[in-house]
Amino acid sequence: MLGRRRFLGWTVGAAAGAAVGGGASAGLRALFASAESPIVPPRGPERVVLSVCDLCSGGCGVRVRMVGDRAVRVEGNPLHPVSGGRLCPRGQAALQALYHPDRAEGPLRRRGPRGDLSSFVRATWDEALGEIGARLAEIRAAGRPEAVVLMTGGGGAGLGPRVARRFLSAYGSSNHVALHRGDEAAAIALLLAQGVRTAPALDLQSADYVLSLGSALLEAWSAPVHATRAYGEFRRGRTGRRGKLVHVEPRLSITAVSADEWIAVRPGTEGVFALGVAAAIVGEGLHSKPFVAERIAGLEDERDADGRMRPGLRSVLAQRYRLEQVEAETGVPGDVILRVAREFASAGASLAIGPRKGPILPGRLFDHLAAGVLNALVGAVDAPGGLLVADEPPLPAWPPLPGGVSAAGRARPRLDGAGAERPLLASDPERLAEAIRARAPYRAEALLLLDADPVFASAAPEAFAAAIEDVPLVVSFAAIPDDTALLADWILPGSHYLERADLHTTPAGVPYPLVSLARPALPRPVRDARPAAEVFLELARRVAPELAAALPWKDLDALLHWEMEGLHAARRGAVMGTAFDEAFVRMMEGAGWWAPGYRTAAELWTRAHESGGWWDPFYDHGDWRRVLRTASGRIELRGDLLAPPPAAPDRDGTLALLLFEPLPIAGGTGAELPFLQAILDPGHEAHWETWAEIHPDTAARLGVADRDWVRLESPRSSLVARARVTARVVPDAVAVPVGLGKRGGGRWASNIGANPLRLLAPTRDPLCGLPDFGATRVRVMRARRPNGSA
Amino acid sequence: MARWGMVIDLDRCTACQACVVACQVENNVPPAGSVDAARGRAISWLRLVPLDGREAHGTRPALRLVPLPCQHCDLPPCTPVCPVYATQKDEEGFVAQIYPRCIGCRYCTTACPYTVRDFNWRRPEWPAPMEQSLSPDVSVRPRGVVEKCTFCHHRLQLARDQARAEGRPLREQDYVPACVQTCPANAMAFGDLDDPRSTVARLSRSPRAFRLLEELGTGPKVVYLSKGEWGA
Repeated sequence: MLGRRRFLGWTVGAAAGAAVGGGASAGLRALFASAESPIVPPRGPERVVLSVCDLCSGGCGVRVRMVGDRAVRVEGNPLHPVSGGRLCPRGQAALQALYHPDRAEGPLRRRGPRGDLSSFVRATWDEALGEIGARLAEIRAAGRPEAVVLMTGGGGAGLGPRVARRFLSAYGSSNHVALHRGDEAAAIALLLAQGVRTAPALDLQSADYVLSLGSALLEAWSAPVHATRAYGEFRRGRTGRRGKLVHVEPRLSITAVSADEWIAVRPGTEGVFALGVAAAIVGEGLHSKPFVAERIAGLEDERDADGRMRPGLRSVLAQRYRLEQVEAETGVPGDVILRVAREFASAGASLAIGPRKGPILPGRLFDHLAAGVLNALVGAVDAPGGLLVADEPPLPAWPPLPGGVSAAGRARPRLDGAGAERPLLASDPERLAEAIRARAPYRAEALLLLDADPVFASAAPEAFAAAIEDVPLVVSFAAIPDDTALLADWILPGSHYLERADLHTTPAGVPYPLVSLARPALPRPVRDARPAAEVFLELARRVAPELAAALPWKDLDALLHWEMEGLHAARRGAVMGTAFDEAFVRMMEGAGWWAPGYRTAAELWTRAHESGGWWDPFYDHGDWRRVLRTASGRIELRGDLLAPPPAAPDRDGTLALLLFEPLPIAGGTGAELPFLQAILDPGHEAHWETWAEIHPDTAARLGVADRDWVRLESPRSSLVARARVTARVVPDAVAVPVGLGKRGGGRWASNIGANPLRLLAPTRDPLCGLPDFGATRVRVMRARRPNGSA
Repeated sequence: MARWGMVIDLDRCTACQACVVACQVENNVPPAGSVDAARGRAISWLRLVPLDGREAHGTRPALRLVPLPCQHCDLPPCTPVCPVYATQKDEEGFVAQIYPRCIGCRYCTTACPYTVRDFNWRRPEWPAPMEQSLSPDVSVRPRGVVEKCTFCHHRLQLARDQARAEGRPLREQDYVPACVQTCPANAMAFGDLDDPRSTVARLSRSPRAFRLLEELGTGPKVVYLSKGEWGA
């Protein structure tokens, strides 16, 4: 039987024959052009190389499939304890960063006006390092080494930032400023409560009940793959035991979508809700009494050293966080608060998580302290299913820092005043921008930017754009020139992680000390790029002999050998291995044995490189001297700090600006890669633009329809975004993603969307001094479509 | 003969979309720019779709985001409409697409109730040096053909070759598609639905198991496990 299909097939075949045979029209020739030159990826000898992803701070161990000299696939390394053979979408897109067409060809020197890539001309590495090294040597010889500022951004805990920081100290400056402070508020909360300044690690896979106070636990968490793997276990990994997740936030985030319950509070009241829950727990006597009696200070009113009465947690909760008051402030019915309190106190291992939203957005300290109160009340501190404190891997000390001019420079005050004016802060980039412009307390003469793009990703982008013009030497290490690099004097492109050897220490949020190793996968870099660590080693040699003595390694491999020999001498831990190896090491160490599986440093080197690295999987619960380093030796609950910062006034129908960081573009990077641009908001087809989520009632009041263009106006600036009318956000707010709106970043990021960080009011968190990313209110109105938009 | 199928546990899934990007990287899917994306011409063999379009503002999120690959139906509606036999279900149950035979009529994209078939509106482009990352295991589709999820069928060929070289039968873990391999939450499982001892067979017997648009009689081989308090 000759069916319709076969007939059609023949007809088309005949037409094709005729067309190719001769007398084909231009259209037909064009049609067959694609068939004439198919793209056939070449084959070649294959090998697998182990490396460490640095597209975020997560530090996932990866396996790279090489075909000839090409890297064709990046997958998780199954033996690596962070990735466990899995990867997030960013990690999957790593090859787009490696082979990105807009990577800088090599060192670039600016010859024309700032802000334009065409102002830059190629230079050799020797010219670049010669000139920059000479300038740095001059500044130091003039006795002003403190005038050199190093800013670091995202990326992993690899050798690049470690060597750069050591270089700066050896050079004689204490001006290392970290741009990304996503973990800062949580770390400060831990410092106040436990005396340990570090981002807490969560034992999620052993928890039964998680109360997420606006956290991005399932989005741009510190080590997203590690957290998501733990979440899978928390839900369905334990027979007959399913963890429950309750999420409190004014917006239905991706984390909220996965939660069992979304509690939509009014903007900025997550901490108030948590303390309402705490008040109910204490009021009903549901807290863990043995734990509170043994480990907690500050529950009752006390007289401090000066004889003043300090209110205890119990009285603060009873007076300030009564049920009806919390109900009125948060908009959550009292019975929901009471139910959550009873569930939280009785669920087994309960855990409250503060509102960290991503590498840029730390959340307010008040909300983190409130989460800490809940954890302390139920004993979720250093317990299975609770808050853990990570231990540093026992890497060897590096050679001592030079004295003389270096020591004098390090003793000068920091430009950003962090640690002094604002004692709780480790870095204050926004204050740095002001100090640079004011040239006080002294002038910044050089600014080195390692993975940091403050003109895009700080809380004061425009202040930074202006400040940079006041610095005589600005050097960016951006591989794909970013917004700040476009304003710099030099771009020294850093290598992609697949182009270098590296050693990563424990990523934030992972409780075990670990050291991950990377071998270069590609025989030579795709572009004339160099590892930042190697550049700083070279600069040390060029600036002064005492710097070279402080950083004595001739290349990265020499440094790696130094580290691994020290690690071997520490006599603990094991090379990474299977789940069975992990259980074995844990059992042996728990019984007081050390079973490393290697004897010599050379054996450790080989075996650690074959598996992905070294780690120590044994966590010693209840090592209180390590995890409680407060004066009292207890968890200090500070009732006096538990007052929410005043809310920004609601003037004339303005809306609270809620910022969030989608995982693909978190930390202000990722928009460069088209695969990540395409997945900004799951479930929505339209991407490649900044959207503003507005509640239907609010939209009706404003006369805005779905997909209309709207203008968001703050006292600082304004932007245009596409309205998304949705009940995913509460009526008093407008939610906008952070990560789009770059000038630089290559063809797929440049001029796509708008940067809401420009809208931020210069408000500070009153408790710690971090920028308050949640304190801005904006006016929303209909707008004309921006130029160049479809 | 194995009946290959997938189980996706929505209680584990966090909508991170690692599967989406893993699929594109594995299968040489070209990146789309903002213009093609706005025209709905971006190709993605695996998408996250909102299962329930209703959005509710209340205590329980009504929104569910569901990874949607080709369902590799036992009775696929897309194959009978193909006029040139470019798509058919093979003996192991894969709904395959034969690109050189496809004439781009797009009957199949219309017939597919899951809308998981994509048409190549233009010749795929990888601006140099991006073509360096192309996998040699998967052909690059020309303009004018329809393409779709293959359950990473090429991985089955490689796994079979490997097993044969080692003189042993194929094991369950030897062959998993790229999306399953990367899933950080371990929400996806893959294997032989007809082997009662396989993980997918065990999971698909769960009281939480359901299939999408099952009422159409398509017999999808992708099984979903609903969120919820109960069930194994």
